[in-house]
Amino acid sequence: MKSSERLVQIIVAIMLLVGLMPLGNTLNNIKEDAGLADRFIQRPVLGFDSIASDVLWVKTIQYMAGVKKIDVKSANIIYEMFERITDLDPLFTTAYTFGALAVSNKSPAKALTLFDKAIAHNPDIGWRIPMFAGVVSMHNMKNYDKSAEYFALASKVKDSPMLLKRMRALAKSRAGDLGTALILWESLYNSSDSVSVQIARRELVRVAAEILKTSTDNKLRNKADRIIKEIL
Amino acid sequence: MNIILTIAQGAYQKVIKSKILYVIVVFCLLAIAYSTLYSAVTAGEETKLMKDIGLAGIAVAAMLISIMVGSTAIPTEIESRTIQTLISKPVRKHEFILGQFLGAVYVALLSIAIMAIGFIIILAIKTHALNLVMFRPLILVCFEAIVLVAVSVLFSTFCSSMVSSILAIVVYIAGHLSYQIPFLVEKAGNAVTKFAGLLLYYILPNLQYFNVKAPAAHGIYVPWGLIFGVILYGVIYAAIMLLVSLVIFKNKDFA
Repeated sequence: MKSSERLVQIIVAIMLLVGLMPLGNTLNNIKEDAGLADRFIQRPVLGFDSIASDVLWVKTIQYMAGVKKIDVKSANIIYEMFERITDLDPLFTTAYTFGALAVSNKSPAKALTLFDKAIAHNPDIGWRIPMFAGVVSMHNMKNYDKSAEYFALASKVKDSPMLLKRMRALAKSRAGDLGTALILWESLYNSSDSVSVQIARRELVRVAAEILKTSTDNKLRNKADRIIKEIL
Repeated sequence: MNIILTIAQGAYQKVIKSKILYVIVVFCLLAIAYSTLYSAVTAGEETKLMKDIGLAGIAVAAMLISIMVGSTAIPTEIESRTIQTLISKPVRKHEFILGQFLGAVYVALLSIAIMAIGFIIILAIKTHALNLVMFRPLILVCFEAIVLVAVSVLFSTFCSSMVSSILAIVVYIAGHLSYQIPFLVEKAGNAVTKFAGLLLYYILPNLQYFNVKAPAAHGIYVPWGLIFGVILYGVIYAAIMLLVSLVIFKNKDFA
């Protein structure tokens, strides 16, 4: 083989290798845009992440079947297991829900961490997971502002139930943000959903009365007064 | 071209007689069929588990078959001294390499096709639906197999079949970990480590590109742009491996 021919082949190989660099970057960008980007994980499993998460999922189900009552200790273990499952397969939405709801009574903060992870990794998450997160924030954490944020996220999803808008308004009322609660309940009162109208009517009276009783903001007081007069 | 195809046919006929090939394919199909029995312990996620087992099983089998056929093709010819007869005829060395490569690729793709059809049928029986979306990760498994055959052929031009199999497995493992290198390089202190890390990143095949098994199992849309981009990446990488194989093989003396 002539050395010049060999040199040409080596140069072509190097050029092709250099050409792969921008192609690799383009592929990384496409993966990123599609929400399929490769993440750094502590225990890489050579492209078998999904099956590894399944094995852990089955093991976790078996573990949970043996737990009679979830206490703080078992809640922590269950949380760690679901953390690992979802590290391996961030698209496994059932695992987030299952794990978070299992630990929500004993470790609501950890439940919310799992819900937040689900929301972060799944752009098309649907309304159920943000709704569960809202309920856990409201009932277990008494964090009404955070709860209202989750309900707002859930209610933005197409074809989500009207209940979520009512839950958001309720969370805002409980958070003490009476001005926003009044706006939200008013929009529900003006909606076409008969159940929402009925509930919103009752809540509007309650929130407006609360504003008149406690608020010093004249603009808000006038609005509350106007609403009460309109409804009653 | 005819010479290349004749050599490919010869290589295919030699490998297809291997019993281990059938064992791998049958074992993979049995594993997929067996996964249907797991429904009781998966808490409603049996279809996902089945898809994962099917795709992972096919990927493992494809890796084993690709490395096996890729790394044995040339050493077998050298050990049996058939190569001397071939080279003494008007067969050029690049035709021999390409022929062996195409024969090995044909065997690997045929095995993947058999396993893929079996998997789709078993999945259709279980879910009562034809999951055509599963073909996307399977297409990429085929191109990952082509890359692995090319890597194995490269090693087999200067190593025994056993050593080239081991080296190809090392490349497979490193190729699936190489995507982590940029994350590590970011944390590296000195410039030499950074340079070495990035060099390794660009030389090793990034086999994670070929892995869209998880989104497919979840029914998440995998864009065609990504599929075609990865196919192009695989073809170019295989071409580089064959070029290097050719450079090494042309210097060999079989007299």
